[in-house]
Amino acid sequence: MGKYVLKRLGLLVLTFLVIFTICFFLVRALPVPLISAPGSDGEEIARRFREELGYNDPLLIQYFRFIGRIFTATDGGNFGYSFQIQYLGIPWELMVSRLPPTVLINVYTMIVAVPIGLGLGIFMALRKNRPEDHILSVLIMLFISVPSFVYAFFVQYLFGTVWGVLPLTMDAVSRYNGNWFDPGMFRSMLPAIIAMSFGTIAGFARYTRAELTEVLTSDFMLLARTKGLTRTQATLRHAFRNSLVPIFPMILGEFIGILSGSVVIESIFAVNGVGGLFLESINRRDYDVFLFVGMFYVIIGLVGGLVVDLSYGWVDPRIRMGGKK
Amino acid sequence: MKKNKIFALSVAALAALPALTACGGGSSGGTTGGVKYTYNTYIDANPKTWNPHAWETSSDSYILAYTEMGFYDLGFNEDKSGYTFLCEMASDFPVDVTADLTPAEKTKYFGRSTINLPSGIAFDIPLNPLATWEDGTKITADDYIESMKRLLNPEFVNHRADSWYKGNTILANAERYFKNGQITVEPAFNFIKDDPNLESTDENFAYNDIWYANLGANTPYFNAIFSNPEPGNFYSVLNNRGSTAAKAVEDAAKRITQSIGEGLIKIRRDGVLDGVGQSSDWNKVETVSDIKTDDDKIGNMWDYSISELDFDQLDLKVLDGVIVNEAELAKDEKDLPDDYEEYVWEDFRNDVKTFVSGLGYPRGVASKSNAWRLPLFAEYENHYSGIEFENVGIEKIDDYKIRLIMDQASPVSMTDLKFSLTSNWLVNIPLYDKLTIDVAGTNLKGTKYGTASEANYLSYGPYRLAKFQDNKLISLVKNEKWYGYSDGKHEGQFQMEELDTQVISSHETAMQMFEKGEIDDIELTASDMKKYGTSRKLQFTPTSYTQKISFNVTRDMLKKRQDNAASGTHSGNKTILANEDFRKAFSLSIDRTMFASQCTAGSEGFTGLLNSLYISDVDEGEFYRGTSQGKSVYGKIYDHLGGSTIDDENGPALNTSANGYNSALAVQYFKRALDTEMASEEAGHFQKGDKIAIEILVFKTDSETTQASYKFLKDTLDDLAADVNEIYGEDVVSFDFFMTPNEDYYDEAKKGAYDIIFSTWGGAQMNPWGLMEVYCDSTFDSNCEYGMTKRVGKIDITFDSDGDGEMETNSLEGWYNTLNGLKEIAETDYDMEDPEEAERYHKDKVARHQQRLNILSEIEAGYIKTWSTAPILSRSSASLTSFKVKYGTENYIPLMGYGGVRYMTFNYTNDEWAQALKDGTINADLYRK
Repeated sequence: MGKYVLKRLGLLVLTFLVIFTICFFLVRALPVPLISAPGSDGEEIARRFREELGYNDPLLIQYFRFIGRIFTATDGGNFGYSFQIQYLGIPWELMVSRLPPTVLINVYTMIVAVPIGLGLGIFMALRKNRPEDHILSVLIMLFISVPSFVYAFFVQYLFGTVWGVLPLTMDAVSRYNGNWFDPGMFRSMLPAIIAMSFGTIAGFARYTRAELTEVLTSDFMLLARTKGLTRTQATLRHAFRNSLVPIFPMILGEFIGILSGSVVIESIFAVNGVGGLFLESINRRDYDVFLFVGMFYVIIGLVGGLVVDLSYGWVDPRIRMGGKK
Repeated sequence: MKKNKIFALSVAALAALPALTACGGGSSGGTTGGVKYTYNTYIDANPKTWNPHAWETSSDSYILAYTEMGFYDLGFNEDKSGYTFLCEMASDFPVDVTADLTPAEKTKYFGRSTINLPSGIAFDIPLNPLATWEDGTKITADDYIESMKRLLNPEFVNHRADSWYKGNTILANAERYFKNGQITVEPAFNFIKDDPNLESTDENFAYNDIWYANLGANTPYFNAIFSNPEPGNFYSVLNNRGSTAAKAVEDAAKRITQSIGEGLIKIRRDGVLDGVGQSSDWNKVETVSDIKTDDDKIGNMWDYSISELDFDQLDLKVLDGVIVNEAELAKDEKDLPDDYEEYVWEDFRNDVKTFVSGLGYPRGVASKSNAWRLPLFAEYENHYSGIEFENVGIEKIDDYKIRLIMDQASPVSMTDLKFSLTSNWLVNIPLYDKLTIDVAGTNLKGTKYGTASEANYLSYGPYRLAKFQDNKLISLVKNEKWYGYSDGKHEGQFQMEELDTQVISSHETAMQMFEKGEIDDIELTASDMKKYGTSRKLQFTPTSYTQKISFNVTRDMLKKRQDNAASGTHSGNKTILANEDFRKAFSLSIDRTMFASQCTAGSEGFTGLLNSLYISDVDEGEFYRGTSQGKSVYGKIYDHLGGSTIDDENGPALNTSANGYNSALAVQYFKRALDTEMASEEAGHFQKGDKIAIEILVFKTDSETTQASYKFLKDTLDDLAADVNEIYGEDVVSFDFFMTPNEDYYDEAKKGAYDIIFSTWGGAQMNPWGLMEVYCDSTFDSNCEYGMTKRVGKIDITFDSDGDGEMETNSLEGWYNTLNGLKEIAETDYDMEDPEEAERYHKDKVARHQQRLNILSEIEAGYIKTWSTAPILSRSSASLTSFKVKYGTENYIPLMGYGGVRYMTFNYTNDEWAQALKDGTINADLYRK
């Protein structure tokens, strides 16, 4: 197992380097960032800026300069600077400053949505083909099919404008002296959490229903009932746990996804999260930020993939990782 | 056991939560208790910096508008009908002290103690002794001097540095100081004309021995050679050489052009070249003919390097004096004849030499070895020995007085100076320096002053920055240390105590917040106007922008596009756009008033280029559109359409209220265009039964305004086709009008890769004269009406410009050059103590001003009468302001708007407002009335 993990880690590093190199060249092949100067001599000022930042050098030289700077810069500019989103901003700092609202909203969403989704899935599986199952299935398909911004606006309008029980947008944490866990902050995040929960609940409910339905019809369930277990005991101890094998990595995936923001939700509820930063960085051609955030998600994706793979063996002991043939 | 695992994982995940969310955190600023008047608003983009030396966009300057103050500011005049200058950071208006400059000062700034200077060179500005930073520290002359030193510091490459070495106010030696030690790209002519043997005396020139042919940019060499400086760039001269030129010159020019086509002049940079072209454009140039017919492809490119190294990599062959294009030969399946010659570097040099000798040399240059390089550019290592910051034209007279010394060739008028000084370059030096860093991997320095946090900035204006949360919140509160609250000169001004600004990108969200009373203003969209179009709180803010339709008027390019689209979904005729009658019909068919009301929020139908905001006389507050000349433009275009009518019953003058709309006349012109095209035997012209396929390139297709505008034009064209078919009695024509998104649609237009676009154009309100460059300068590379830059030197206009009864003829470009050569009469050129001289001055001044207005109006009308563009709208934005506040005036005043925060007063305190919202006294429905 340890050897397998080490091997996977080695591959992970190699994969990351390959992806980074490809991304670097692709990003640098895009039009030069819009470092513009607005005045009459803007052309010359912008030219000097680009020259100094190395955008006129051949791509290979730019690549090695970038790598070199990662190890040599001392003022935090190891991964370059933002010039378009925050003048001389450090990409890492920029991203970190945008992480808290994204993480919080995602985590609160998970805390709300996963249990409800699983519960609904179990309920539907147990009531398979009954009217309540059909009604819930229709609702779930509705929430899966309708784009999130539609019910985001709906939530905003209903809770914020019609009933007036929740704020329309997420509040600024600076109003709470930087305390993200202030009840007022939490309250202002609720509309976004509610809006994001619908899709997650629907996804988990559908998946759990499908898995559990399959397991419930397995032979070992019959055996469990015949050996005297009640329906509830058999379902919870045997059926549900077996159905968790594919569902658990899904939950893990959700946890990994807490670091990624939703551009649409962030825009509607004025959440200054990572999703908006990523989009803004490419729209404004702030390539150092774009590359950094992009690579951050590549690492998250790679590590996430590894963790999910390893979790199979942890969840289901029958699955062995790196075992000899 | 497994239960424990799941539990452990969940706990671990939740435990990680505070760690993740604790990163970064938010800024914590002080809260302001007991605030009575708070204005809540929003912006849709986050400022990336509000450093006064580096800001770029209006979002960036948002904070500066409240936290800083110019030496002078604009305030209402007595009857609130216009503006007047107010002293703010200056205690009095500038005093011209040019005559008082000592020999030592002249030597310091101009290198000679005996130099004669015109007035308008040196000014003393007394500073406001009450001005302080928000921490109470006094602001003195040293702060201004040190701030300017940092603004012009070559190591910073500040985006705003050129404010003081280009434009109206040019400080002595500012540019030299700023560029000292830098390598810049300069025209070779500037150096060769002064020193033809420059290698021996100026080793900084052609620093890396890289030479450029800056094909699209103006080079002073051509301006010096041509008495009427029509073609000012290398490519125009190459392409527009006179037919009478000697054969050798002609052949040389051809080979130069051809060798360029073959890649002799190689793009040096990767990617976008200063935002005007892309290297990929170069790759589209496949044949020499592409270059000949499409000069913008080259002209838009910013710089190319010529070097022997590049040339060595070429394999060019000359046959009968012409470079053979092997690709073309191969396409035609022809073999390259054996008797070709190699075209080498020396040949290219000789050709340029021949070409330049054909044009002529400045005095004393012809025989010199460098003469052939006159049209080229080269890198220049700027070394100005002896130029230190002390030589830059700003000095401290005493703690509360500074002196500005302009460049000797650039005297500035008092009005221009005061306008320039409505902004400020002041920064807090200790903080600025503390936040300065060396930018890793470069030779640059940068500062995070005015960036990312309230801790990185100090204010000296009416408000201070209390909180800045990136991309979320900007909170400004009253700066109690501001002199204006206690100097007795600002009574009744700046009543607002707190400004709370949220960053909200979703319009729908902002609208709900406004309706709930959470923000106090909202910019409206066209669909919002249906709901709030009659609101008493509706406010229109005109902008200096005109929205127009720009047509591609080049038949060759249209035919190419037509041929390329022949097998596509949107195949159809495009060449009809080259027919002037069709473009007239298109323009006449648009009901601009209806268009404005249906497709925009607040804009007005408009038929000119310069809207009502442009000021033709700053001192007198005269608006160009209000002058008799400005008013006459409509008549010049639409009275019988400038003399061009179809028949009497269709040719009466179009009433101004029609706003250029006459559907009956449009149909007549359309029919005439179709008849002309159908009568043509040339390939590619419209034929009976053809569909006209017009593509409109737009930035994005999903915006409400774009969708509405597209639908409006589509319906208009369909109606036009139906009407003309009715006259023919059969279906002769139909339209396929379609929309394509393209974020680079302006660049596409500049390259001719379009049929029509919406182009929005405008500029400095105080300089309508110079703005005509866009339409009249053949070297200007951002004209959106493709093909027009080539023509402006050939479109003649005849009128009596100076009222002497004699008609004068000149091209559009010629008139533009005349206009900008005719400066306003300056008082300093007359002995005003002599009554006769003074009278002559006043007479000359009026006559000159009238002459300039005459020319400007003729240029404006003349260009529109090419029908290469159809102005549609004068752009305005519409907004609602809450009942909480009232602006200083209900009438929009150019440069002053509605008075801004200076004159805004509150109808409700914060508590009263909260109560009014709670009990429903203020609700969204009220804004609909």
